[in-house]
Amino acid sequence: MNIVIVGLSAGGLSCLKTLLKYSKDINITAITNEDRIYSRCLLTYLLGRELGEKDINIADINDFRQINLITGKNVTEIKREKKTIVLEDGKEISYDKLILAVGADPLRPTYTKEENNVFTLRYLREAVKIEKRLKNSVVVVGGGYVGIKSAYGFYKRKVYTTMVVTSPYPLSVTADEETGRVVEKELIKMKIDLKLKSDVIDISKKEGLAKVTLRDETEIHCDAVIVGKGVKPNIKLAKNAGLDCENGILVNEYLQTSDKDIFAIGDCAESFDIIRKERYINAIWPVAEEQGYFCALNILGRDVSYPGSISMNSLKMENFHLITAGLLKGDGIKTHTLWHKNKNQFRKIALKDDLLVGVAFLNNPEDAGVYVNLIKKGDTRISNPEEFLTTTPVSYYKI
Amino acid sequence: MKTVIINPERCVGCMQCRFQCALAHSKSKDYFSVFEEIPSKPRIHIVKTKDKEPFPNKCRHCNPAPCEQSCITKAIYRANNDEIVLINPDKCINCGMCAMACPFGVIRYHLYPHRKLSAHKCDQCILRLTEGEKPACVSACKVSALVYDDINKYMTNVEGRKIAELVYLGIREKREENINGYNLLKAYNKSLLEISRR
Amino acid sequence: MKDYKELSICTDATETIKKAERENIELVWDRKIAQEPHCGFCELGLSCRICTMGPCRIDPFGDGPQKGVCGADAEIMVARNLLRMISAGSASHSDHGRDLVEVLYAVGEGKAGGYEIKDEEKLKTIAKIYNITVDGKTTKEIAKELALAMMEDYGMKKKEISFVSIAPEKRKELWRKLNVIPRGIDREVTESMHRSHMGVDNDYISLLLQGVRTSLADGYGGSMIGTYVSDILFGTPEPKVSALNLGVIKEDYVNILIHGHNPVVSEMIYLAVEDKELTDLAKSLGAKGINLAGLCCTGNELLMRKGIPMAGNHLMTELTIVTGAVEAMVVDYQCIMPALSEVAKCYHTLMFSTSDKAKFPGMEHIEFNPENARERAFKIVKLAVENFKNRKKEKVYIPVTEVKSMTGFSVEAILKALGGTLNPLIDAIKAGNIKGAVGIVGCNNPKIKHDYGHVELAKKLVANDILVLTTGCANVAIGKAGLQVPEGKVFAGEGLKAVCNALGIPPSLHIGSCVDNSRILVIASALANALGVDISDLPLAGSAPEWYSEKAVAIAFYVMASGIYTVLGVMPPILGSKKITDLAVNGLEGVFGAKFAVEPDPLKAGDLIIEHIKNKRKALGLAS
Repeated sequence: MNIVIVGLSAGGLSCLKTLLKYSKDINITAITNEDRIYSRCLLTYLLGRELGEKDINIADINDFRQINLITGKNVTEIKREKKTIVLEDGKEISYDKLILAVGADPLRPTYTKEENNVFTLRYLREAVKIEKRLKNSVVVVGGGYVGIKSAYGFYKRKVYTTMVVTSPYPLSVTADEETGRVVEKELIKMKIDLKLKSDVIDISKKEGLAKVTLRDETEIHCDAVIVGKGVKPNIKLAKNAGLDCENGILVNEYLQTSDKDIFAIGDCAESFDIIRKERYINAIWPVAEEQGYFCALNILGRDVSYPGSISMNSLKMENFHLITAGLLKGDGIKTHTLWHKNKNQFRKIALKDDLLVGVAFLNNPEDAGVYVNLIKKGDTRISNPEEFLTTTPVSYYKI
Repeated sequence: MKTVIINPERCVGCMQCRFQCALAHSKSKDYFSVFEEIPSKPRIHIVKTKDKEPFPNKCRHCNPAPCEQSCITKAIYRANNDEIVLINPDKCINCGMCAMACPFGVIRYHLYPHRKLSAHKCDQCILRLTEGEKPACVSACKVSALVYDDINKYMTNVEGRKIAELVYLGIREKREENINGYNLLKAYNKSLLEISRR
Repeated sequence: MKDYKELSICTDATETIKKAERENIELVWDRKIAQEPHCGFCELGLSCRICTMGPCRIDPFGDGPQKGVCGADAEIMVARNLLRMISAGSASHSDHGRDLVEVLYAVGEGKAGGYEIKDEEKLKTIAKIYNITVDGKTTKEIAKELALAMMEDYGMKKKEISFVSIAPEKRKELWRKLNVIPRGIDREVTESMHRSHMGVDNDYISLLLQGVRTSLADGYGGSMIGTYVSDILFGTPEPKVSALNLGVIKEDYVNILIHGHNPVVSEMIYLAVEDKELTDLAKSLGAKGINLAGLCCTGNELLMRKGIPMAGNHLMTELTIVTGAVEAMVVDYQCIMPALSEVAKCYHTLMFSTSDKAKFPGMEHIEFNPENARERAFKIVKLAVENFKNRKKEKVYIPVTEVKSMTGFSVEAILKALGGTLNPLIDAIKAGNIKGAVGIVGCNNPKIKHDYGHVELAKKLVANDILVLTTGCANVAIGKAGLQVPEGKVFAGEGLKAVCNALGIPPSLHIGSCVDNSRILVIASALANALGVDISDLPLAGSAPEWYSEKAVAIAFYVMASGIYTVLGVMPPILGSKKITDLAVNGLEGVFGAKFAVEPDPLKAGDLIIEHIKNKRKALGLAS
């Protein structure tokens, strides 16, 4: 059986490893358009100089001699009728099963021009360019996890950082206000110049520096601007091949696209969100890995259906550790918080009626995973939130 | 496959396993380790159930392991023929993702003796195993709440599989044992709880 | 975010717990939660750290080790541990008694500044029990002679300690047969420690009998001496009305709390508080005066004799400071949580320790002895008054107003209320108006909802025409519930109500502090003697619904050994041995005519006691 994997980040790599682990007699081709296998999530750590360039590798290309590994090449076309894919150099490779793990691209607002020292932070090549520009000051646009983690990296290497956030508090996409305010306080503690309810109007270049103009006409001069305004799935390849796509490439519970021999996983695949109860892309590392694992098992004929994902993330900065998962705000969602003010800790649960839909843990990560997995079960009902918050479930399985 | 099997109904909450675990993972491996500059921390936790009974909670070495899947630096990896999930503290960057993913709440963050802050959990005493010893917590347990045994023994029949699954999930139903003092004590403690909730 | 209703039945407690939580103050309940789950070996009595061949544990499931390194099995381990608990309890009461004897001696020598003999009549009565001739001697001479005789009771000069003589003949015979009559208070405690050393006594029956003997050395020794000498020095209590709960702390007064067990210190503090000069000083600082209130058994001692109100019992001690209105707390010894000084740090409260045997980190130590007591007490009260200006008004919160409660029912007072003889009581028991009497005694324990055990049991018993006698922390709980005023008769059954009406007494009588459990022995013995039977024939029972301390174990043992059925609310660490558990709840009956029961549910405990009293009445030929 010929299996072709396109993309070797979290999803592709996990799928590849699982295939190799459980089957010896398959013929695998893996294609990546980069020349090494590294972890994207570590780029902010690279910029913060906590890690060196070698440290972000998560696999060595030489470890995969038993497969046909193609690096530095894009896939330009899928020929479904012939069951082949075409590489940028025109070479065709045939497949019995094709796995698309092509990921997502950052959103680039119009002012995102590299010649003006404005960058997104998704690929190693971008990080290298930013590193070259960076001296004393930087502007981070966007108050999501990428923005905050970059800002923390810059704080660690003592680069003066301004953060421009559209919403009234950071993490507004995933977190409720109380949680957002906690993050805000932490950012201010790190002496980050936080500009909330603010927008970038324009960025130009002046005397080798980037000149950022905000809506209130403030001007900021800095070495570089990092834009972290979210990602959009890479669906062009799939769409051109006639596969069903909406925001991402649509997949069923076996992670198959509208073509049963083509699978899609990771940031490009529009799967199912357990809490939202609708198609959704949770573009995060653990979900991609998990999908890679399930996809490999399905290809090997094990018929395991993927239960869907929830959004979750972890933010750890020195002694600050915030874990959020599921939904913390929205229609009919009520939160209950148990604070331990003297320890600067809280645990928060979000309920829709009595259904557990979200949690946030500040500085007490011990039980967070148990709660996260309770959300993942999708049917955790809690009648007495106060009591629930004070007791520690032994296992996610039964409360 | 041999692994640590938990009999929660036998745990008396004495925390000896925690103590021996910390010792086994300390530099000096003796009682003086409490004076070490960075004291060793136990990797097994005695948590309270809803009925306030003790439950020994430790890493189940899941396969696939959610912590391993969520690790963005691949500091979490498998060893010993994939039986044991380990953390390489030097690769760990403390992102906190593994604690978020772990369904059993057994991951902590501590300083390792070489001053590296890292995720911290049970390593099934892999060093002791190579020396032919049992994991420290198992050796410490005087009531067989923790035993080191072949999980496949439990997997050979339907009933056994069910028990093995429940043991893994940490919710093994309380088995009715011969009435002894500990059963009486538990019944007594249970009635205390009921009375306080009146 | 605790479930306050699970912690206490008292509003003053729950409201101040909430305040403590708002102010980030750690309380006994927080620490209890942090300790859970408790070690099962220790709860079962199956851990032994007596020697360093161990420490050892025995697997209650039978797979692991069944013997300690020395070879001690579950029975030996449990029995040795239990014996050491009894010894510690007896030692505590008896050492408390010894301190009073020393004051009595100092008075006799004329060297005890502020102390004097308040009840000469009682001095003479007790002297007679000690075979001291009183005619032609001065009070001081008698005092000195009695003190010396009591000191001998602590030693080993005689075969039997003196107060055993008050017990009914049948009981004494039984004790002699079993060889459990104490031969000296200190001797029994010492011997118990000796016997429980590795390689001495290894027969659990023999160990437990020594436990009985040690406990009797407490009940008929240390405790009874403590009670009687207190009566001699500070007056035999008489009925009076006072007040209970946090409401006795007054917002516009300088508040001084006394906490501990021995009245020696607090009686002097009481004198200083009454002093006009210090009161004027308080007034000059903007207070209306000085307000003294008690906690635990020191509180009980002053309540009984002086009518000084009590702010609370054991679990209330931290909460009194949380009110933010306490200028000073003066402690002597026993049951003083070391956490108190931590709580006090969060407020302006000054903490004073007074005994050379009880020092606490974070407390100022001002040592008292009979000679300097008066001067030291004035010093402390002055410091407290001066501290009034440091009080933070915005932190003061007193959630309730005080509850009235009657007190002062010493044996003499009860006799007086009955018209000088026990006959009216005996008649009431025979007629069935009073079905029986039960002592509800003992501590608080955070394992039991605060005061729930005491109050529910008392209510159930009085509703079934059973007279309740309270001591210690149980007094505060039951008094706060309104059972210790004559109006408390509404809780009583018809028969008991009629008796309350006739005598003007409450259905539950406060008879003193925890050493005053000896008063129960005196009444029980007197009743038995009057009827010509043994104590074990009487419709009596004892109960410690919320006990926590080693002293309570000693009390439970001497009450049981006196022939009184005893129901405990908290499980003692004996379940590890099936034989000893079985002996405690069954076998003892055949030996002492009384046994133990453990029942945390006060309603079920009430049923057990009612059933027991019914049976005893039947055996006496009385109508149930």
